[in-house]
Amino acid sequence: MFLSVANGSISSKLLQDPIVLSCTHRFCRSCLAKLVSTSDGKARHSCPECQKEFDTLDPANYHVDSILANFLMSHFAASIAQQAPMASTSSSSSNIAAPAPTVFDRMLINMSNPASRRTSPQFGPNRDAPVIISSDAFMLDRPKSAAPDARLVHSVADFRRLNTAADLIRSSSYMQLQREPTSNYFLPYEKKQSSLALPISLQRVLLDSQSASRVWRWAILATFAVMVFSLVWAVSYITSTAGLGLRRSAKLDALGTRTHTHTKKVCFFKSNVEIDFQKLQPPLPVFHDTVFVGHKVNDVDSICSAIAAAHLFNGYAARADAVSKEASFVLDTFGLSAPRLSSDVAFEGKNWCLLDHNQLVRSSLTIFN
Amino acid sequence: MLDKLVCVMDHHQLQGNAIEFAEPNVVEIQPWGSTTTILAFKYFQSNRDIPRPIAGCLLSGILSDTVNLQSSTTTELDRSAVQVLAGMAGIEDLHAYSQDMFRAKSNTEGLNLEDVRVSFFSFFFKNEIINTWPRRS
Repeated sequence: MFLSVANGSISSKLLQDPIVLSCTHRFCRSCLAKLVSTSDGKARHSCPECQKEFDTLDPANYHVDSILANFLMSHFAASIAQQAPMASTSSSSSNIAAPAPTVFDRMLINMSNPASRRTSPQFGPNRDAPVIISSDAFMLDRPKSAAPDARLVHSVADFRRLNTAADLIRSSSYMQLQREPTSNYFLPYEKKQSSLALPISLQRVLLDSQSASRVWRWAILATFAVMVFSLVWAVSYITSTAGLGLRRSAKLDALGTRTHTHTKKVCFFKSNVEIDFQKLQPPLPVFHDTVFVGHKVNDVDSICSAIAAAHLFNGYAARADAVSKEASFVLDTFGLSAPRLSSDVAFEGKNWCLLDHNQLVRSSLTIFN
Repeated sequence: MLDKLVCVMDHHQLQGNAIEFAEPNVVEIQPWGSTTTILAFKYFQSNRDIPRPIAGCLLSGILSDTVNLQSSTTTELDRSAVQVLAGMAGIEDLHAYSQDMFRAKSNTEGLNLEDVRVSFFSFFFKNEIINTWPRRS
C-alpha cells in the first residue's frame, strides 16, 4: 500500500506526499507529476493502476491524503529522510524526460510535509506561486521584451496551455480555491469543530457574544428572583407559624368595618390551637332601667338616636324639650310617637344615657345641674 | 347624682366642660357623621333585625346631621350605613327625602323669632363646620 508507481513500473519507495485520485488509488506526488501527458494542449493523467484518465485541472479528481501523509511522517520519518535526496537526484537526472511542472503540481501544496518543500522546489513549494499565476493569467498581452520574472516563467508556460474557455473557467475556479484556504479539498480534516456538543441553534445563542450576554443575564436574574421569592416566602411562613403574625390580612368589609382575618397559631410550630379573632369582638353593653336622652334644642339625630337606642338596649327614650319640626316630620313619616320629656315622673330614679352630646351645658337633666 | 349616668354616646369632640363620671362607664365616641351611625353599626354588629321605623329613624338622623351626606364631617361609614338603611326603610330617592326633611326644618310657620335664633345657633353650639349646602332641586 505504501509503495508507489513510477514511470509505469512500481517503485519500491515509500509514498511521499500521497495523493488520492478520484479512483481512490494513492500515489506519490512526484511520481504522478512524471506521468502527466500533454496531449492536445491539456494536462492529463491516467491512473497507473486502473488506467482511468482524469483532468488534472479539476480539483475534484484528487486531494492530498493527509492522514496517510501524517502516518508516514510519524512512522517512517527516517526512511523518508533517506529517500528525500534520492528523489531529488533522480528528478534532476531525469529532468530532460520529465515534463514541465504543471498547474497540478503547484496546486498540490503539501503543507504537512516540509521535506518535500525543501527537496523539490520546482513543484511549487512556495505559496506565492499560484497567486502569481492567477494574476499572470490576465497579463498575457504583456510585452515580450520585458524579461519575465523567474517565478513567473512557470506560470506563463502553464497558461499557454490553457487554450479553451473551459480551461480558463477552471483556472478561475482554481484561483478561488487558492484564495479560500479553508476549502474542503485542501483542509479536509482540519475543520474547526466546537468543543460543545450542542445543537447549532443553541450554540449560536450561547456562544454569540451579544445574545449570549442577554441570555445569561436573564438566566441569572431569574435565578435570583426565584431565590429571593422563596426566601421571603419561607421567612413569612416560619414567622406565621411561630405566631409573629406577618401573614395576617386586614380588609374592610361591605359595611366599612376593618376586620383582621388572621388566625394566629398560638403554639410554636404546632397548629393545635387556633383562635379566630373575629369572634372575639366585645358584646353589646347591657343597660338596666336606662333612659336615653338627647340634647336641648333637639334635632333629628338626638330624637332618633334616643328611639333607636331604647329599642336596641331595651330602655326608654326621652327628649329634652319640644320636638323640632324636622324631627316631627321624621316621626310622622315612619309612624312613630314622640318620646316623653326627660322631666317625666316615670323617669325618676332611673339611669341615664346621654346621646349626641357630652356636655352638661347642653343637657336638660336637672339632676346634674 | 352623677352615679345615675351610665353611658354617653356621641360624635362630638370632648372639650373642657365635658361630662364626668363617678365610676367607669360606657363611653362611645366616634368621629363619624352622627350618633345614629354609631347606633346603626351597633345594630349591624349584633345581627339584630332592624324594623322599618327604626331604620327610618337611623337614616333620618344620619341624613340630617351630615346635611344629606354633604358636610365635611361625613365619612365612608355614614355613606355605607345610609345605603344599607335606605333599603331597610324602603326609601328610594334619598335626595328627595332629605329635601323634604330640610324643607320641614326651614318651615318657620308657627315659630317665634327666639326659636328661629336658637335653632340657628344650635349649629354653632355643635361646633360643626358646614362647607356645602344641599342643592336645591
